Amino acid sequence: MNRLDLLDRPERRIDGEAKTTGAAKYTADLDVPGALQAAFARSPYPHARIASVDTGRARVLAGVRAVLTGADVRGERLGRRLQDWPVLCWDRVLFIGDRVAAVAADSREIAEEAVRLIAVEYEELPALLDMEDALRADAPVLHPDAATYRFLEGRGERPAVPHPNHQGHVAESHGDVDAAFAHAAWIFEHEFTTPRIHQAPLEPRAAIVWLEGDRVRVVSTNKAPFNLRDQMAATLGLARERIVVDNGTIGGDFGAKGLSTDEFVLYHLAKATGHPVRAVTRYADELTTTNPRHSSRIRLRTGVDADGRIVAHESHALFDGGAYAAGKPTVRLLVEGGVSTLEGYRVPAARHEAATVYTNQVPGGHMRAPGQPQNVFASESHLDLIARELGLTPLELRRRNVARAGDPTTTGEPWHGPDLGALLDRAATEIGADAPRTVGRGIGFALGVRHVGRGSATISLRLDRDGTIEVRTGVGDQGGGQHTLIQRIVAATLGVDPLTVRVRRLSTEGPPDPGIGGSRVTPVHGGAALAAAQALQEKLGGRSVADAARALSAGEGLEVSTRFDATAADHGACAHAIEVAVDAETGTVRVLRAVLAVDIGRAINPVGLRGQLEGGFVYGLGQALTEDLALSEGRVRAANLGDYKLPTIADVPPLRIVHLSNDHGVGPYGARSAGELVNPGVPAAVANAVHDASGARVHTLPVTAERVWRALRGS
Amino acid sequence: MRPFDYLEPETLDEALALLADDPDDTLVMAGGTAIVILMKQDLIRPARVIGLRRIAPLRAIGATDEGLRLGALATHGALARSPEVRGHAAALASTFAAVATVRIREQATLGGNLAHADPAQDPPVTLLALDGVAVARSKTRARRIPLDALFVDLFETSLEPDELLVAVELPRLPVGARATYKKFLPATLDDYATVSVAAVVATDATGACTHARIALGGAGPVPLRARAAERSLLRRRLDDAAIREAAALAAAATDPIDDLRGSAEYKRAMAGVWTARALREVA
Amino acid sequence: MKLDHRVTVDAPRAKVWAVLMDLPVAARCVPGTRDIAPAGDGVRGTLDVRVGPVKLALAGTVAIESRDEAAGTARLRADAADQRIGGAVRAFVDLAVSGDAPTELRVSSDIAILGRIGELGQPLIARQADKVLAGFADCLRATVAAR
Repeated sequence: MNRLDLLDRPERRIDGEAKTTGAAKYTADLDVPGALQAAFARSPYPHARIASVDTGRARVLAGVRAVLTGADVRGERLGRRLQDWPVLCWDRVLFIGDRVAAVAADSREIAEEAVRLIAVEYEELPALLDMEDALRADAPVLHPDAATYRFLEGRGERPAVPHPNHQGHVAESHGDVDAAFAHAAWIFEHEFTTPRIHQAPLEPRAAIVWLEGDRVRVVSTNKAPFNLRDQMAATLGLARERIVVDNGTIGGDFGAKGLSTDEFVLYHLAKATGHPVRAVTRYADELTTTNPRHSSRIRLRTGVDADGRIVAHESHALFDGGAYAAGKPTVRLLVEGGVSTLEGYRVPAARHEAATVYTNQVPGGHMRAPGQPQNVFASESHLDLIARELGLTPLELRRRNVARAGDPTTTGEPWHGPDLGALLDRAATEIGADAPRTVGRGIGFALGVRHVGRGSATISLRLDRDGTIEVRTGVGDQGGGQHTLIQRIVAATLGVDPLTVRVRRLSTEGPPDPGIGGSRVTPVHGGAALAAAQALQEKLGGRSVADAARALSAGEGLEVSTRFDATAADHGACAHAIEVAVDAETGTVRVLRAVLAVDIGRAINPVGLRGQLEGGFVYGLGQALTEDLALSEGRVRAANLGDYKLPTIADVPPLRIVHLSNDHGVGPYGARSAGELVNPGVPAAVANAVHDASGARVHTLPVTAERVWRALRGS
Repeated sequence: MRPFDYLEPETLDEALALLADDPDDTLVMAGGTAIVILMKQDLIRPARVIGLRRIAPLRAIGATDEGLRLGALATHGALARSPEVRGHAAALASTFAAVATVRIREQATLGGNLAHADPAQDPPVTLLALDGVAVARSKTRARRIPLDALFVDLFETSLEPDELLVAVELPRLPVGARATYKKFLPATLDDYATVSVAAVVATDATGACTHARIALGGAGPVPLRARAAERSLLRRRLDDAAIREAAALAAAATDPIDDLRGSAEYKRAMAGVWTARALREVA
Repeated sequence: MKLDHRVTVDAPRAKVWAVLMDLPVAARCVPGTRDIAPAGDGVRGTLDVRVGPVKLALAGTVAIESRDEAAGTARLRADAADQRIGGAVRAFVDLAVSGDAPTELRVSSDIAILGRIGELGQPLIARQADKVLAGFADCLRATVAAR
């Protein structure tokens, strides 16, 4: 079969049958004999000193096997890059939900009962609940010992920050920004805010840890097992080789599963009891104590010339990182997608200042395109406002300013990626932008661009005598279709039926793997799969796979192992066009239809791709209209999914996706990443459509009916 | 979830007798959609649960000489599909169809819904506007409780611990009466209402209003009757001025809670907007 | 969570003040309290309260942190925990009496909801606090009148 014919055919998901029949075993389902259940005592205060912890009554409860407090793990801190989050707090608690003690018991009910019997005496300290307060010169320093925190190796030391309550900070520029502003015909300035939102995977975090001889066995929902192994080794002071991290089936991620917090104390509980110990996070705790998307406050200032062409731009962005920076794997401890505002446009001179800030709120983490939805909401709302001021249509302003190949972008780097003007034009045509508007209806646009991930991975192939090929990889599949993608690339390259290609995920006993994240798997693991398949092809020496298999003797296999580095710069892009109706009496926004014009290069999993694009759209719709993980006095107000409103299928409008792709991506067969491409642009397109429909401009997400109602009334 | 004693009586008398044994430490479960969640979250810990699902007669829906009788164990789905319910008031059928999702509707019951007394629920609002009366039974007593006396406070009813709600009776509507239920869902379509309004009116040959009921949901700690608004409509033509006046009076009758579904100010204003919309539909 | 309530009592200010500062009597006026007993300078006891469908038994203490009879102001502190659901409530309550027959009482509460009780939702809790205060006001009027 022609290899590209295979890739054009809808895929059969490797994990599809097990998931749809209920046979799939998630971490919480795994049967580990003798496993105890863990529960945690958590701080009710946003900031307090721990005066005493009395575990006496908990210890004597029947069925309780171990009770640990911060004193037992003093000094141990966890994190993906900066290890600043105590395994259990021993002197101070820094947010509501911070853990001070852990119990292992025969059942979850007993463990939770024991937690209620733990008496902790706190002395409350003033809480920093606001980023501006935290950055005042005289603000209390939340991490006075930050200099002693471990910064996981990889790419050097933790960059210096101007204020001790900064987690990360960057100020970067290109061009002569001040001179460019001085020559601008018009200068516009706007501010936007976005709330915390939650990744909301169906499956909450879960983990089981047990000791097996010298080994520490971990089964975790973490989507990057090698990284978790390294974090545990650093925190617990164990040799990496002693820790083996494996996955069960993972039930959704969206960034949440990059951070693990329970595995560390589970190790101590397993050691104390001699039993495997399991923790399954209650969904209320997922919502209130894990690592949601950072809330933001972004101020943008842009100068344009007389024709509406951008000449100068600056941004000041603050992201509320909460009590710990542990959820961010990035070296600068920023949500990097939030730094470069006005991405995708020609920006000859720009200055960006962005910071993540320590506060006494729930710690922020990574979520589908970290930082980018905040950035794109601000940038694309700002552009619409500028267009209106200039008397241009929002579309025309964008056409005049999109980056063409080689143009300087907002980072100063030349543009590498799709033809953005063509995507915008196509989206405009499909939605009927030129048709006369009905009263109360409006159309909004936004442009989203997303880098294609880079990095390296190793994939091994083994051809057996029966003609089957086993693929071995360290990467998991958290629902994104990663294993199916690898299978199809191998099958297409070797010209075999995908059903003859089995994908086996290895634990951390196999070759190192960066895991899922950063729009990485298609270019990196897909690239590695292609390279490995090509290496196997070489070994066949011109024979067919079937002939080569038949030539093998019993037990013999033909093996290759390939490490692949994906280094090329590239972007996927999506132009959004969304039509809404606004009920002026109530402020209610109904999304009537939407068009996505996308360039993701070549599709490898056509059905999965559609799922990623449609799913990304719905994900963005939630952020646009309903999702708000609001805190009040440091406490998350929505402790269940009845109050934290995700869109349902009934809320999804007709969606048309148009592909303007020509297989020119840098990934295997010209593919690009798609999982984080669509969601960032949706909120801005909705807010812009609401403005077009009603005149109401909402500068804060989500665009709720009440906010629109207030904007229309000027209150 | 913690262990508890679970009893499944076959008849109403058996259920009432079991309940009378230990009314204070017993939780009565119909569809279980609300209380099982609370039990799983360990927020309520009943020692004993009486499941009513085997008591088939309590599922009956049927016309009576005086109107319509709805059995307490009828599910929302059954009520939404019932020709008798639709025949009485199509708005009542559509109210049950507006609750939550299909999985909930086929499990949750009328009696469970009313006894739970969640102020954001839909059916109490329309039933209130239809002059519904709850029929309660204990081992020794039977009594009829008009719905506006059933709801006492948030999640609190006037049912005694040994009483079961067994049915809701609806009197026959005036000839030509028109009814509607409006559920305001500004966020997602599976949500609780931010506010909701049920309106029932009848007019005489001259167009003058002879019967008016306006009930509001999500507008206070219990479903409310907007009585001043109702009175303002009587003997008047239901023109724009009359509707606006009634809407303003309905809004003034509310006492909403500030919560994630909107500020009290917004909910009050929306109660007015949706009252007007409901009245325009039935005028 | 900050709540503000005003109560008018048709009685002399000194009488109102005396009842308020008699903590065992004042505490019994809070609807749902039981087992009220003096404890040091304050009282201890249990407040049974419903938050939605959930019943809480808040056991704890109330103490007078400061008082200024001339100014007619006092600050109370209440700490109470529910053992079953796991959670606690801590409240600072500022009392201020003004006027005289009728006497106006202003009750300003700063309530912190700690632990799992908070999952029940602030709106429900605020509503319940309103109800408790209304019951307290009725009882206070009756108690003052009876003295």
